[in-house]
Amino acid sequence: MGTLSLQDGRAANVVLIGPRENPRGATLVLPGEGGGPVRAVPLAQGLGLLHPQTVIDIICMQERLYGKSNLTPPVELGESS
Amino acid sequence: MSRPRDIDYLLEEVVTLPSLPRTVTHITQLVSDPNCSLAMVAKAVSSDPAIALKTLRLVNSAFYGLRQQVATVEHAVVLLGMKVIRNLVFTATVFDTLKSGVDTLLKHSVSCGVAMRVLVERGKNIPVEYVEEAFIYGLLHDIGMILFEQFLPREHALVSAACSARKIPRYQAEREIIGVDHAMVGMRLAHKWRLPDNIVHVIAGHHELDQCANAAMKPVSATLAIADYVCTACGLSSYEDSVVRVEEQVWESAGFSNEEIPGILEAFFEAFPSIEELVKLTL
Repeated sequence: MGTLSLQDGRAANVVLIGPRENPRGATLVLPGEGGGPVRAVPLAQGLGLLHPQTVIDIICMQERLYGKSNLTPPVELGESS
Repeated sequence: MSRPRDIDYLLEEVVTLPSLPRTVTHITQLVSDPNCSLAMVAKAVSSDPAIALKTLRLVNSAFYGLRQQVATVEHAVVLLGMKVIRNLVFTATVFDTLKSGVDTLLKHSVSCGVAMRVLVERGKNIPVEYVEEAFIYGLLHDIGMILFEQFLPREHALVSAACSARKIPRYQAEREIIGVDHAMVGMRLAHKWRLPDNIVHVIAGHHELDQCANAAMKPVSATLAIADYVCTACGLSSYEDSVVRVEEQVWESAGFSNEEIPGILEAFFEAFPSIEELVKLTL
């Protein structure tokens, strides 16, 4: 799990649990609207809330952790800058 | 303590810009001549057996995905055209010429070339004629780093240390410690080698768009900055602990939407087997 900033400046979390083929392999945990409960949405449904750099970070991290490309896994989570 | 230098002093007094093999220079001149024929280019490539062999190996690599085996340079030139063959000749010779021993940098450069092709094929802001040159932009964008490593090893090490300690982009540390960054030195080398102006401009602007002197090439330079970022996010950076920052104007200039990014990355990941093959063929 990692913390990220949404385009509107609010903080959110991302949870990586599986490869890209799994629609819930990357899930965004978004702050609740107006003090409501947090919402969990698949990455594909939350793309518009993110900065493009963050989208790249999440998908590449997911591929490094769970993908078939033989990429080197990160030494520590959140390493890519 | 090292002293920041002026780029002209650096290139006159410290760094000897290497020359490309004569065959490569000849092919570059031929391709820029409107009266040049396919046969003339094929003859020029064939005149150097080592370059011809390496070029044919690249033509037959998975990256180009040709359905048929290409056995002669003449066939390759007819099939792919003069510009692609010129770029293949660069690919076959440039890292040899620079005598780079940095495997990670070569792998980063090849990866960036592959990522560039994927991005340029999908870029709305990039004219279609740049697709065939996309790989070469990625391959050559960091050639300035190789010169720093060869001619300024002490400063090069200080740059690496500053990047690790302060988490700053390499070009920023180079400017502080050496006085110029690898994009500027790479641009001067590309100019010396008489590479096409497009390549010179794109190399110059890959960290700061304002350094790209040709407005028409800025979206390509911006796309190269994103390719560089993608490779770093994949753990394929030029040096350990590399920090790549992408300016807001880069995203605007390149014009990719967030919805396009997953598909672009998928295509990049699928192209990975060709990276290992190209790295072997490029050395």
